[in-house]
Amino acid sequence: MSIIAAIGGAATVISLVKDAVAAAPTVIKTAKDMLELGKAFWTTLTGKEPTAEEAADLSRRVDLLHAEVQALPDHD
Amino acid sequence: MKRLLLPLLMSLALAACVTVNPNEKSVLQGGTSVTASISNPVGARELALVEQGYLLAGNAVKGFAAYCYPASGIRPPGCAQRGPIMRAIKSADRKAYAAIVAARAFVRNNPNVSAVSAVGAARSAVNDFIAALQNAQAQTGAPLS
Repeated sequence: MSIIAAIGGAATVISLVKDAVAAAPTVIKTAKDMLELGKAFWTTLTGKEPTAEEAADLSRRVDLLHAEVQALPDHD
Repeated sequence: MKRLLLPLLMSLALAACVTVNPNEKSVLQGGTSVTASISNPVGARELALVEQGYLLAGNAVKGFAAYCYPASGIRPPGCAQRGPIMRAIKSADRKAYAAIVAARAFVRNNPNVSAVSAVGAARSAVNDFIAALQNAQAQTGAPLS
């Protein structure tokens, strides 16, 4: 990937952050949520790529949460 | 003949500009080349951000379920339509999760290719998941935190 493509990608990341904030004003409420979001912002703005371990941990948490959500009650 | 020759020469010149030397190091990694290949950190970072968004929304769904399906068994007044709402949330969750899994595979299997398309699809699906949650809150008044 050339530097030009990298700049384009960075612009997309910034756009992604803006979208996430705009789309979830009611979801982001707790201090824990803010901390999580802060971490995501930091990761994005500092250009730090998640390590393989961090990415795996994040994916594992997503997998577990998905299973939890699907197990929640949905009867009338 | 000159008309044909000029575009040919221009294309050769442009091709020379984008030729990538595999031994060159990108300026983004402390080198001097602006055309050298680098790994695709944007894909991994974007994916992490989408997964963070999913975690925020998924935890809020648990809050919604605790409100509309209390242990006491007494349904709050705003939760008359809790079944259809919860099923809609779960449907959006399945789509978001499937898109995230697809994006993960793309990023893992294509480390030097832009993952904007795959991660963009995941982002869109997670946004739909968040929208389903916002709709649930609007219909029931459930606190999501």
